[in-house]
Amino acid sequence: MSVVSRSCFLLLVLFLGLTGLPKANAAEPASTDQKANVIEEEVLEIFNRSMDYLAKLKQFQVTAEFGFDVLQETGQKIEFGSHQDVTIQRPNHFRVDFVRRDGVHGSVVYDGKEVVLSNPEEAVYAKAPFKGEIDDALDFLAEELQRPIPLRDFFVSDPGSVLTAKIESGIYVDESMLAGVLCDHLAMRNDKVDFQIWIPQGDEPLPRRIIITYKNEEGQPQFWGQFMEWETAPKLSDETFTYTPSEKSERIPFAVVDVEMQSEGGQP
Amino acid sequence: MMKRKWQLVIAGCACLVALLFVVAEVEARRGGGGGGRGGGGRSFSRSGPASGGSVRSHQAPSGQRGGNRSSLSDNRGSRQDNRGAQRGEMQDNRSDRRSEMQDNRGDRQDDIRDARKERREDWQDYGDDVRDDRRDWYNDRYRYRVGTSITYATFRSLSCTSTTVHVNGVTYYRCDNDWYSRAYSGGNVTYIVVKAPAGY
Repeated sequence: MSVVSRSCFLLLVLFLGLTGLPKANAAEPASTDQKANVIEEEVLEIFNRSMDYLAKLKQFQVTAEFGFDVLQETGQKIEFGSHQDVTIQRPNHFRVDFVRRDGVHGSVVYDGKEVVLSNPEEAVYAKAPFKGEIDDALDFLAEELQRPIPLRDFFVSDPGSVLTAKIESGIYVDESMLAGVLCDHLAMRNDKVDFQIWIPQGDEPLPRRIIITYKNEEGQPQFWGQFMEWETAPKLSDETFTYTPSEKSERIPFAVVDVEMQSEGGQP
Repeated sequence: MMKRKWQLVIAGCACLVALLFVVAEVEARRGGGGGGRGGGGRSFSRSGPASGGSVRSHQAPSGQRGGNRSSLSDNRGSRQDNRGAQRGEMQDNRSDRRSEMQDNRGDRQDDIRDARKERREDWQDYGDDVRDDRRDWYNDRYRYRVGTSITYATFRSLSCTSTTVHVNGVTYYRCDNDWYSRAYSGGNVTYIVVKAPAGY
């Protein structure tokens, strides 16, 4: 008899375990969902103060490290990354010098008339005529040259409006010490990305770190960027934004894959 | 007695699984070591939705996106399968579309079909005819087929000893029966299979 009653008790526990627990869990996301759609006033204040400060700089240099996940066919995420030094002179000059972790290095220079990509190791460069402001040139690089400049949301004329476009929620996470600097840690969401940003408390609220989560993409890959050093009064000259090819350098064209040719590829 | 036999079987299986893990780990390390700039190594995808580093998802103009992703993934296998058929057509892949460019990108596909009849320029002319107009520039880019480009790392890892030839200011590399020339594609210097330069 005792064996039978023990079995009944076990079955009862199992039954409760299977039916009761999920209900308890289901209740929690509902409450966090309610929280998630709030844009806290404090968050917007801290964020806008930072972005206004950045937007008012006529010129600056910033050094950054960044990394990003790339989902492989195997389903494994692998991180790649780069170091980049960016010089901005509003309204229409910028320069990006980068060293990728795999050793590939080079620069992207825009002088208001031409965009020049160069690779000293291969002694090549390519240029494309382009007239416009920094925002347009960054779009041109991303869309036409397929060479987006990482962290470019911070280099445009109005970074605040770009980063908070269609924002659905913004919460204050915590005070957070980052490389010895006390920061406010904010978390925001829109329908495409979640992003976190760390903004120093104090007189120079230039962002220190950002993490972007591409939540609708397969594998939800992340991009992170760490701003190491901001120089708000750099000494710049015309040469900063001029690419001078060496004697050995060769100009090469831009090329693009033609998908129409790809579709014809099956019928040689 | 039966119990002991089962224990032995289970222990044997566990050992086998452990051994497989060790072998897999060693293989992974061996393969991974050559990656990066030197060896050409493994062909990882090195670019994806997160590599742009922006909250905005900038998408390449329609018709460019898929191809760009393929070119970055360095798909050597498909390159070799397709190369023979593609090489002949590489010679024709410039087109003079300037006069036909419409403001509406949606019409582009039709334009390409029409313009293809008028192909006449080749790689060597490219550098000279970039005009001071963005739309002309957009159309003047060299166009190549998926699978006919390789990365610098892969190029360096090819088994041949390449011959370098300079013709009209353009550097060509010969590897066995293939000729390559360089171009920026997807922000990277890539080696694209082209027709032999004049005189070769």
